[in-house]
Amino acid sequence: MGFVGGQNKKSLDVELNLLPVFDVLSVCICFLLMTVVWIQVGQIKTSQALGGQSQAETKNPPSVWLTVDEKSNVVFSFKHTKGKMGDQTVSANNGQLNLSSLQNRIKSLSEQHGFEIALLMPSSNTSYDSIIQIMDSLKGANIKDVGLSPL
Amino acid sequence: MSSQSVLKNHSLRGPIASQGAIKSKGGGMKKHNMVFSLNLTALIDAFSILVIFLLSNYSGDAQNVNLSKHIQLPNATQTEMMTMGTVVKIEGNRIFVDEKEVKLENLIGKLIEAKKSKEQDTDDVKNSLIIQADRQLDFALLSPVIRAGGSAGFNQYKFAAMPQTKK
Repeated sequence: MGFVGGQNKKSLDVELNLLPVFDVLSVCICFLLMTVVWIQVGQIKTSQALGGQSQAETKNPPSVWLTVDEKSNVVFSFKHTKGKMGDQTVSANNGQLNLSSLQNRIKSLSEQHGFEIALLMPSSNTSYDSIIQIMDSLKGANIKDVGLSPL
Repeated sequence: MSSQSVLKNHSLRGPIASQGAIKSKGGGMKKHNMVFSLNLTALIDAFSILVIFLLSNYSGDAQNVNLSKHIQLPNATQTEMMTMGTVVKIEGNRIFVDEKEVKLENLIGKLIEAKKSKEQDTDDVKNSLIIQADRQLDFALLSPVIRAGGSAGFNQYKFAAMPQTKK
C-alpha cells in the first residue's frame, strides 16, 4: 500500500524515544535500592503483667500462668477456669526447653479451655530466646493477651 | 493482513541510520554501515521488571531498629510488622536507649525523657517500648529493663524478633 498524490513520502513509523523512560526507570531503581529494607525485623507484642488495670475494670476470663524454673521445666497453673484444674508440668529436655511438647500442650489446653490471657514468669536464667519461643507458641494458640512478669 | 502492512516497505531504522551519514571507507568491495542503533526495548523491559519487584518488596513504614552485629535476634513465627517506639537495646551488660548508652540506675529517667520527646506522636508510639536483645541473654538482665519501662509509664512491650515462616 503506497502513498498516492504527495511529493514527499512520509514514513508512518513513529520512533518512540525511550531514553527519558530509561532515565526515569534508572532513577526509580536507584531510589528503591537505597531505601528498601532488606532485613525485615518483626515484633512480638506483649504487655507487662499484673497491676496494669484497676480491679473494677478487670474481668476474669480463663487464664494460664506459665512458670519457667531454673531447670527449664514449665509449670502451667490455671486461673478462673470452669472446674478446678491442677498444675501441669512440661519437663525440660536435657536442660533445654522442650519446645515441641510445650507447643502441643499449649495448643491442646487452649482448644479445651479457650484461654484469653497467658502470663509468663521466667526464672533469672531463662534465655531471651526461650521467652520468645514460649510467647510465640502462646500467640500461635490464639491467646490474645500475653503478659511477661519481671523478676 | 500483515503482508499489506504499511510497515512492510519501510525499514525500521533510527534517524541517524536512516540518513546513512557514516559509512566505512574501507577499500573492500562491501561498504559496511558503521552506525547501529542500540535496541533499548529489552533493557526497558528488564528495568520495568526490576522496578516492579522492588516496589512489591517496598515497605512504606519506617523501621527504627538498627540491627547490631553483636546481637542475634530470636526467631518467631507470630511476629507483626515493627512499629515505632522507644528502642532499648541490650548488648551484654550495656543498655542503649534510642542508640545512646545509659547506666542501669539512670534508665528510668532516660526512658521518661524519651517518652516525653514523643509527646506529639500517637499513643501507640508514645507508650511502646521496643526491646532488642541477643537471643542468649538471661532474663535477669532483661527484667530490670521491663521494670524500668513500667516505672516510666510504658504499657506496650514489643520484643524484636526475626520473622520465620511457619513450618
